[in-house]
Amino acid sequence: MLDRSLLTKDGEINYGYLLEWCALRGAKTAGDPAGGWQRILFTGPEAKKPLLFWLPRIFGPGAGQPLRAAWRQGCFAGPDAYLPGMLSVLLEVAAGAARGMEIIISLGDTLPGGLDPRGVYYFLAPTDFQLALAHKGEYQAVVSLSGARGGQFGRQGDYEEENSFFLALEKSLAPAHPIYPVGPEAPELVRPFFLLGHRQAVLKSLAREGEELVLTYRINTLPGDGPDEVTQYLKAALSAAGRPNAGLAVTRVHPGGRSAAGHRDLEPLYRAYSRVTGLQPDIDWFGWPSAAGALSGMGFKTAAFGPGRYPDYLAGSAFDPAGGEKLGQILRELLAGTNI
Amino acid sequence: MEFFSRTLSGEAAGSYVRARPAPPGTGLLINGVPVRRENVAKADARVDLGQGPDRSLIVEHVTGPVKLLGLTDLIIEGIATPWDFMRPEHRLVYSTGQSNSFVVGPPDGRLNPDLAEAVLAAGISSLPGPRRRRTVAERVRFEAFGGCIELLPAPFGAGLNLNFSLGPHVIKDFHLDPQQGLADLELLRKIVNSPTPFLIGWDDPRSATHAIGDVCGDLAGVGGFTDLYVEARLNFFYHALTIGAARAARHREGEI
Repeated sequence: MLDRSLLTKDGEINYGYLLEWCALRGAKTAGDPAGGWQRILFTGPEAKKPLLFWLPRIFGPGAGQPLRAAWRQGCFAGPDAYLPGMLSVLLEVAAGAARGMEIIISLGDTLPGGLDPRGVYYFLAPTDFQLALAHKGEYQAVVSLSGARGGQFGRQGDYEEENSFFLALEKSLAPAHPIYPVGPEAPELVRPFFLLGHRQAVLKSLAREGEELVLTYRINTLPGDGPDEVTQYLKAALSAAGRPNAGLAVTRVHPGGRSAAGHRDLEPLYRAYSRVTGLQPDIDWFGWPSAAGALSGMGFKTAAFGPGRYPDYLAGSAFDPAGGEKLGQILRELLAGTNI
Repeated sequence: MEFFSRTLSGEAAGSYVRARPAPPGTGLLINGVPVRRENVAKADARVDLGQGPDRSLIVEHVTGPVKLLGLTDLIIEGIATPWDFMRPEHRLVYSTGQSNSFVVGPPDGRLNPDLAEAVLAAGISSLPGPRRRRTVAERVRFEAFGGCIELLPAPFGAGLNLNFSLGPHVIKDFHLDPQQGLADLELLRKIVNSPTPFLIGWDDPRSATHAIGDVCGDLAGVGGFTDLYVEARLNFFYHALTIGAARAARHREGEI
């Protein structure tokens, strides 16, 4: 065991340590000269083609060894420890597996060249062990309104009009469904279950710029939505709010996408998950932008999968040792049972 | 070989599935896949059926009403509907590139009541002949996720006899002959119109009424059992119990 940390004191990944650790275990490594990505290939004696795992940017403070003993002892228990913890699980599984396994660490959404389009790319993400084969996108749009009743915003008499427009727009953007409980009255555990399938616009900022009221929305889109769908969605809301001619501009685009993987590609993971848990995994889509969405959009077979729930992850980004243990068991089963 | 068969007299369409008559010996087919234990791809909160790359989802909401109606041979196909991504099942089939016609249960969690009404309107035709019956060869106990189920052998002709609890509710002495169907149509309609516990919670007594249809669909539809005594303490993942027990059972067949 190397007596050094996987992460630097600044919270960045300690690549020197990582590469040394991997080299000692016979892994081949290749890195982007610009620092955008790192590939680690563990070639097991039975390997024909490696299983591919993908970790997005490793960030945040934390300390510990990339070994199970370390994360079980809470070395990755702090805030922002999720991804380093996941990496430690992957490294340990890969180093102990007879079959080959490749780990790609991508900083941001930078993609290494030469990716094999035939393999399934498993993205480690806090999906609560749901298998996410489609990924929602995130857009930003600016709604602007100038003048009310022929006047201009900023005059005292116009505030009522301004407020009424804003409230009407928020009401028209609120999710609704004829059967499923998605309003504030719905149980906390039930509501997000259904809302994952809804476009959601969240107000990011409200400002007055000169004589304009400017509302900036962050829109969580459905997989496959493009700027046209987002524009249509917001225009319908503006019409419902009585202001069809308000200014509207889509200002930032991060589209989601659907994986090219189907049931047949994922049978090995279904079996591995089933052997460990007694259940078949639930399939859903990932609710937030990720590199998996970008790769899916390029036609690759992707599957996001991992312990932890995203809202909890956002709140603390902590690594759960029990979740890591379960992930390790599933990955070992996957490697042992996959004829690739 | 002569088969006893109960199938449709004509075609019947609900909102999410349509059904047509099938020759004796066909059994139940859902989207081309025989309803059998070995074709179950998932059984926990719902039952999925698959053979090859595609899966049909929530098949218990088809097999339930079909067995409550006493049908033995039927070809069932899903109907494509507008995408509703608030439905987790639509998100699933979209993700795997399938048509949403593979989601064969309605969104409100009921057991396809309009299919049941359509079948009753179309009429059921019976062919006389020896009735193949199936029970367990010996007692089967199966446990999962804190629940348990016991399947006990029953004489041929005894039908399914259910005693179970779900949360605070108890179902006692429910009887169904899966080759005859329920004679009490009021009770049948009550069962198929009760929503799944997942949408109404198990404090609502309708959740246990719904479970009657699910259990009959799993044991008689998927398991092919006609004669059993069943004792169970169900939980939210009760399909893991019913399908798990059906898979674990050695069966014994005969005729009446």
